This record gives sequence, C-alpha cells and structure tokens, in this order.
Amino acid sequence: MNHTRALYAVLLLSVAAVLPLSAGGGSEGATGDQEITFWTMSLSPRFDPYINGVIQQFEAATPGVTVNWVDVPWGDMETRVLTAAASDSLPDVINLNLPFSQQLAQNDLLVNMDVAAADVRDDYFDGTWAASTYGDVVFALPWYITTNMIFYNRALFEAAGLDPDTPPETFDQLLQYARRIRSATGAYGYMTFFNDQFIMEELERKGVRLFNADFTEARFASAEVLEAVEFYRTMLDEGLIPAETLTSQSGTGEAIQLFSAGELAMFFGGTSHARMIQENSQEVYANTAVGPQIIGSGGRRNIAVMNVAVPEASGAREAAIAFATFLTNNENQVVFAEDAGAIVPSTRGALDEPFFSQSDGTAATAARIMSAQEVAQGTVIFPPIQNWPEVRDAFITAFARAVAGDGDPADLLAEAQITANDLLQ
Amino acid sequence: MATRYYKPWTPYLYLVPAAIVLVTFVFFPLVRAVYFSLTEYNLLSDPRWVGLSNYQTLFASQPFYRAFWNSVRYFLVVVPVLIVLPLLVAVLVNDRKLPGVTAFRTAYYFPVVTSMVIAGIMWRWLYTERGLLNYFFTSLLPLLDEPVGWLTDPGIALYAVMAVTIWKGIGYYMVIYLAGLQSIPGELYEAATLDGAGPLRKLISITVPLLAPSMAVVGVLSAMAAMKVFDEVFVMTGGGPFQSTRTVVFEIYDLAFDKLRFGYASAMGVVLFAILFVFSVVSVRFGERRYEGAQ
Repeated sequence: MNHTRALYAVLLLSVAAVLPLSAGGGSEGATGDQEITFWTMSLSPRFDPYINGVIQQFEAATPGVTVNWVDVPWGDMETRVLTAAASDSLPDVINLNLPFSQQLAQNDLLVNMDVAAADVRDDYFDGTWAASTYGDVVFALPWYITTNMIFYNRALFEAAGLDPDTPPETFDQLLQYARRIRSATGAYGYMTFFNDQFIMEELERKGVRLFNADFTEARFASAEVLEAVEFYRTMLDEGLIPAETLTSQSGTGEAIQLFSAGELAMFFGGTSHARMIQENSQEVYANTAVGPQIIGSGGRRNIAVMNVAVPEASGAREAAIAFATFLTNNENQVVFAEDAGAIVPSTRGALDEPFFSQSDGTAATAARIMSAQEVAQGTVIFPPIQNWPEVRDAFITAFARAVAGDGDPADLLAEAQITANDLLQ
Repeated sequence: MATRYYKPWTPYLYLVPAAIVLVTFVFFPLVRAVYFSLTEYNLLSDPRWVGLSNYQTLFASQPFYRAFWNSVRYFLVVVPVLIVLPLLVAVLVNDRKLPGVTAFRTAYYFPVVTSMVIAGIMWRWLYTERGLLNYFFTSLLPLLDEPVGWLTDPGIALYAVMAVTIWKGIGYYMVIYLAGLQSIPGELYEAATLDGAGPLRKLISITVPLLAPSMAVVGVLSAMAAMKVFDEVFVMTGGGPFQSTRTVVFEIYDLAFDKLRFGYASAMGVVLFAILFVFSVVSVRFGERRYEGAQ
C-alpha cells in the first residue's frame, strides 16, 4: 500500500514538474513599460550591429518600449514558430519568408497591414506590398527582396564560341547554348531543381500556366506542360543538365558548387549567390556574369520576398506595428541593403540611391543592379493556395517522373492533376 | 523512528529525477500524440476531434504502405549486415598485438562520431553523376559503361542510403562486439588450437556462440534504428527520387512539418510505435526463452 502511494507520488511530482512548461509568456511589464519580442531569420551575427542600431533608434524614439531581439536559424524557424503558435507564445514581430507566413495567414493569425499600416502603404512597391496577400488581407510588411537572374560562366561561353556578353534570352536559346557548351567543354550547360516550387516557378516564367487564374483548378496535363517535359527530358538525355536536377536537396546550393568548380555554365539564382561563388572560387567569380531572368511568351517575372509580420495575439500590438514599419521604412532598408550588398529594398524611394545603379564591374554589383531594376515589375507567382504543399508535391513528383521517363507523361500528369484538383476543392 | 517512517519512500524519491525526464519527454508526448491522432490538428488552430478517421485514411493510404515497405526493406537489408559485418571487424581488431590496431579501431569508429548531416552531404557528393564512385567504376576500374544514378535512380537510391547507414553503424556495433570478445576466456581458443582448429573453426565454434547475447543486442538496436531511419534519407534524398526513399519516419516528419497534418502524422507515429512495441516485446521474450534454454 505504502509502495503504491509512493509510486503515485513519484508520478504526481513528475507531472507537476511538466505543467509549468505549458504556461505562456506576456509582453507587458508590471511598470506599464512594454517589451516586444522580435524574431529574425538567420541574421545574427553578420547583421548584429545593424539590427541593434535599428532597435536602439526605435527605443530612443519610442519611450517605454523595449525590443527583445532573438535570431532563429533558418532551418529552425518553421518549427519554432509552429510550437510558439501552438503554445500561444508567438513573438510580437516576426521576420518570415513568404511560404511559411502564408500558412500563418491562412489560419488568421497575422495582423492585416492594409488596415494597421495603411498610412505607409504607398512607400512600398505595389508588387512587394501585394506579395503578402491572402484573400483581402495583407498579412505582412515587405522587407528585403531578391530577384531571379541567370548566372553564367563567361569562360565556358567563350570556349564554346558563344558571345560572353550575350546570355540566352529565350529558353530555346538556353537549350542551344547548353548543347554547344556541353560538346565544346564537357561542362553541364544548365542546372535547375525539381524540388520545392523552384521548377514550378520556372515553368510559369516560361509561360506555362499550371493553374487557372484564381488558383482553384490545376492544369498539369496541358499540352504546354507536356512540351516542357520534352524540353527537360532532352536536356537530361543529352547530358546537358546533371541527373541531380531530379533530386537536388539543397536547391541552388548544388548548382553553386558545380558552377564554382567550373563544371556548370548556367543556372538561375538570386542576388546573394554572386557572393557565394566568390567565396568558393575567385577564378570562376572573375568569369561570372549575370543576365536578366528569361521570360517566355506570357511568362511571369518573379521576386522572392522576406517579410515582417505582427501576430494578432501580440500583447503589444501597436508598439509591434510601429516597430515593423520602422524596421521596413525606406531609410532603414537602404542602410540594410548597403550593409548586406546582395539584397534590394521593397520601398520605392530606395532605388533612387546610387548604390543600386552604379556598377564596379563585378558580378555582385551587376546582380544587385539587375535586381533593383526588376523589383518594381516583379510579382510573387504563387499566392497562398489551399493544401499547397500536397498540390506542389503531386506536381513535382509527376513532372520529375515524366522527365526521367518513369511512366507515360500524359498519364502521370493527368493523375497528378486529379489529385491536385481534389486538394483544391 | 524517523528513519523507519521515511524508508519506504526512499527508493522512489531516487526515481523522481529520471521519472521527471521520462514523463516530460516520453510519456507526456506519447499520450498527447495518441490524443492528436484522434483529431484534425495543424498546430495553428485548435484540434478538432475526428475519432478514428485518421487511422481509416492511413490504412487506405498508398503512400503509407510504400513508406512502410521501404522501412521493412531497410530492416531486411541493414539488420543482417549490421549483425555480421561489425562482428568480423571486431574480430579483426581484437588482436592487441596487431601493429596499429588502435588506429584501425579509431578509423572504424570515426563515422559514428561524424554528424549525419556532414556524412550525408559527403556521401551525396560521392554518389553524384560525376562523383568519385562513378569515376572509380567507369574510368579507374572500367567495370561500367555509364555512370550509376546512385541517388537518382529510384531502383537504387534506397540501397545507396542503406550503405551509408551501414558505413556509419559498423564502428558502433563493433564496440559492442569488442566488449563481448573481451569476456571470452583465452583458454577456449588455446584448447581449440591444441585440437587443431583453424581461425574459421574458432570463429564459428567459439566466438559466434559465445557472442550470441551481444548479437541479440546488436540485432534489436539495429532493427530499431532501421525502422526509425530518418536523418540519412532527409539529408541525402529528401525522400526522392520520385518519393522512392520515403520511410515511415520521413513520412511522419513530412506530414507534420511540411503539410502541417499533425493529427494524421500522429496516427502514423502511433502505428509505428505499436509495431516497434510488439517487436521489442517479442525480442525480449525470445531472448529470455533462449537464455533460460541455455541455463
């Protein structure tokens, strides 16, 4: 009997020890001062001086409010935000990428900036402001932007008898260039990625429409998609793209590695990739040039947006919105972009700065200038779409199998279309 | 008097720290997972009770059976290899007089302490179309005409990932066998030598039977690891090509953290738990019976 009671006591003590773990946190101090928590995605330690500087300026201008900055590694952010949302302890201001903030927005967890920050709306480009839209709600302020561009190796172009100042302007040219480079140098002509939504965005840039206008119906089995299958299958069969295109895990990372080793002539990347190539190989970097993203007939130009959101549950909502708008205002974004060197602000005024128009002849500045020119015309290709991860996977798996010849392309894509349409209902 | 009063509590109080850890990190999440498996839950909004519907969906789901079959294949290949190969390695490095034996032991153990992410990325590069392995087989030792799609061919990728699990596991299980080998009396080998037994006979007639308990431990540990394999798949193939290397734990992770279907993923976790629980009970019972038989 004693033993049984003792055992219960052990269990009770153990359970009691767990209970405080589920308690949430508050934002308002006992003195009436407010503390807002701000999470960023992988900005520390590189940008510590910049972020701390912005926080100090904000605190000086807003007495009674202190900002507690927490930097979360890129790979942990999704899990951290999910667990914070589940335990009602989301921070007051969060820096997120678009796909994940869309999931929060779909669950009505984020403040509508169209209402809360209406006074600053005109400071941002229309495309960047509208990027974070779900239904009628603008769920975040746009922060920094990168755009897509073609990186190419001038030395490989020259070796293949191509003009190193003229990157391909159409996808057909891309195929022809890749062929010449492969036969003259043995290097891969091109690399893309059949993971995440990279290939889907590439198809949309090519002019292939994967959905109807309001994204409620999939059009995976169209003649255009089947034509695209042939395009990539030709590339694969002729050895113009690495077989790893089908399975690449790190996306652009693998292309950068091959490109830096001089084994790849062209890939589509973002503004910051010039610096990565420079870190990997000075020699290849000296031969690296960038060209505008290739847009096919009817294709759409895309941008990648990092945004700043304020959760509805914030205990210091007004202060949080004030900090989010301060962080993303034109002045602060310009300083940030100049510090980072590889990003473009989402604000209209920023692009008047000479930093975004004057070249020093390197690939890094060329990439920055190109991004700055494209950001005003860019858009986010895929808005929040119902059951997006499943819809995306259904397409990518079918498309990759079709390209690899692992089944009849028409059947594979028709099946994926049925799956996607069920998910979109 | 006071000592007598507190005496029955004492052993249980010693259990409290371990119990706190177990309740916090094992039993509490386990009970929550069973509850979530009966709900539709995405972490971002409140769970909605759906009864057994997640289990109905699960048992009718093709992706689940594919993932389960991949885990079973993993089990069928990796476990026998990890029972036998580390044993042979342990026997080889058990000879203390062998010059450089410590270096060999360290070398075999090195993969165990290497992070799976680092090892996975390294192997991914070895496995690429123009990687070292294809260079070896097509150029250096021209056994093949064309490079092998180690991680890009859906028929091969799972086995290529298994090879990494085996490479990484050899050192760990070798240490378990080495501990077992130390406990085998040297007289047995001396007597066998006098009887004219060669190295193979000694291995079969002395080492293997006396290492049976270690082999059982290795079998259970490697079986659990094989059924729960995740890191290798996540780092090297991401479940591809064409979802051909998705194992049960990978499927659970993907459903929970990419698709935000925590309820459904929890149901899959509960099914995996049930399978492993039955397997563990059977292994323990089987082990006990064999031990009693040996007595």
